[in-house]
Amino acid sequence: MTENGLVVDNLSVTLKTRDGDLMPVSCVSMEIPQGCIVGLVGESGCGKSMTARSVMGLLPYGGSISGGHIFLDGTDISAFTPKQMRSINGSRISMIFQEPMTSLNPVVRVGKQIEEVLLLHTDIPKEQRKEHVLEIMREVGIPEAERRYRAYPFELSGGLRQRVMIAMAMICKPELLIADEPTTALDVTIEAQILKLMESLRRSFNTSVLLITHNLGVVARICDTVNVMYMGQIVESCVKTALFENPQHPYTQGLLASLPRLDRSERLTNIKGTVPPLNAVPEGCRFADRCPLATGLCRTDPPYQETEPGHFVRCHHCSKKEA
Amino acid sequence: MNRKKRKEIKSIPKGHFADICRNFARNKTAMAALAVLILILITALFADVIVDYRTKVLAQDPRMRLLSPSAEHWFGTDNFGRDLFGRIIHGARYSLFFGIACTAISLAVGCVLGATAAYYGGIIDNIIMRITDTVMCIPFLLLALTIVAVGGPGLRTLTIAITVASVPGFTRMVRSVVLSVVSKDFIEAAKSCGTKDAAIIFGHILPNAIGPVIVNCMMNIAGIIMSAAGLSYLGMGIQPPTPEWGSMLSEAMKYFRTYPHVAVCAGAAIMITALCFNLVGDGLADAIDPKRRR
Repeated sequence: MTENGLVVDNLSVTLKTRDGDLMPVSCVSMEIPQGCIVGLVGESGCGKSMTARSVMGLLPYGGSISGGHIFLDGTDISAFTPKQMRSINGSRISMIFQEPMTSLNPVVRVGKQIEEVLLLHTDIPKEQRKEHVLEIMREVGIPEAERRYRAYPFELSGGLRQRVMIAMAMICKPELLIADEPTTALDVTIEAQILKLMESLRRSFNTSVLLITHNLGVVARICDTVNVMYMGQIVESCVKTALFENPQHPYTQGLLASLPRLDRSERLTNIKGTVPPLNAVPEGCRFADRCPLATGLCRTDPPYQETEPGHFVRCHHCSKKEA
Repeated sequence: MNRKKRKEIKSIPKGHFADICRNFARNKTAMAALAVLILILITALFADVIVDYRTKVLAQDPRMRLLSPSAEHWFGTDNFGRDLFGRIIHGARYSLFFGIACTAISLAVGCVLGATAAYYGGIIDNIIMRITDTVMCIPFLLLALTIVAVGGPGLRTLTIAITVASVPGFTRMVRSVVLSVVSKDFIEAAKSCGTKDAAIIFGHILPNAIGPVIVNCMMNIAGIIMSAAGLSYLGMGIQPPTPEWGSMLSEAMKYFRTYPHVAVCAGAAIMITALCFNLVGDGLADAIDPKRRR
């Protein structure tokens, strides 16, 4: 276990609802070493955002961490009080959201909104704060920063707003940036620019990034390692190249097979069935009902094991192949 | 050409507030109502300068009773020979005082209660809202009448009565507005930056909720002016000889068949003021709501 960066150890999240307790995240472990971009991939509702929110201490009403720990540079932040969480949110961990359109306060000028983060976490005097804000605005590639400083969010385009969000997140030079589907609401050209920006920020600030996405193209572009989530569990974890060249879990294989490709003309495959609801989690392997390889063995919990150095898979069949 | 165009664009003020002002200015009815309101406000403020309170408004003169409107007495005189114009503009002070003061106090209380209920939710929300619901079960006038009956008629009791009776409405309104803002993404984004609760409520939630709240206030002022006049009409508010529109109207009803101008003046004053507040409120609602904008 590394000392630097974020370590999520066996994290479980319980959500109290009227229909009983649900577990959107169960026993998730992952590591984000300092300066790395780690992808968290999975379809909607598989627990990606819940994992991110528990790291931020922003679980929705009724949600709580029911097991495991989150370490930031060796400190257990999963046991932090809300007040302690507030002091590290924005300064050591920060987050950018999916919808840049709605994530900015519409009645406050963007410069002021960025400045507010500085006000909260530093004691830089007022005159210098504006300089800092302008500097970070230039850093994230906002043209005419002086003019944009006084702009309201509705006067900016989607890409610029996302840049403002990134400026807010990066102004205190946090160790970890959580990006919750940062490019989903943007068109592809802007997506490419934003990803490029995140990569250059990672290099200049040595910030680690947890990139949540359902877009494997985004993963292929900038991630170092990837975690694939299915129904609250990590089913496969490996470096990026291994994921695309040698996917081992049937779910990952299914995901990759359902990407359209120009160099093949056969019909696009898809993963059959749908994700079962969280209150009806199947016994044993959670993917068994939809898995082409499923056997009787899959009704028991599959082991999470290293099949190749640095390549972890949660599947009975993958272990067999290796043995 | 190009330079001229750029200059034009520059001269238009930017921002939310300026936008709202521009939209409001385009609404002719609302602007007319606002002009009348300002006129009423000015006459009420300078009532002492325009008409002397002791000699014209309170002093009775039986020889001059129930005169029709003339150059000397613009609105005529009442059954005690007092100048009606003077009584109306002095009466405006009471009506405006009730309308604005009661709204301000109940708004302040309602904002605190409603915002707390909406932001924290859960049991706090339940306690505040169930008490509000209980108070709201009692009809507005009945509640106000009860409080006046306990405290005795007069300016202070009337203010308290009307304020207490209108707090639940404000609480409910503020809560619903705040609830719709709390669920927005930028509140979560603010939380993710480590912003404190109080800063979120005052810095992010209330500025976004202020529009509908102001509109509601304008409407509420109209309602309060009418209920204050109503209570005084019933003899539960301001007592004669103090010039209050409601009590003036109630007295004038005795002569309504023979000398209708007394009742008409008092009634028209109430109606016009309330109508103007309503129209301004409507205009603001149109100006603020982006969906109704061009």
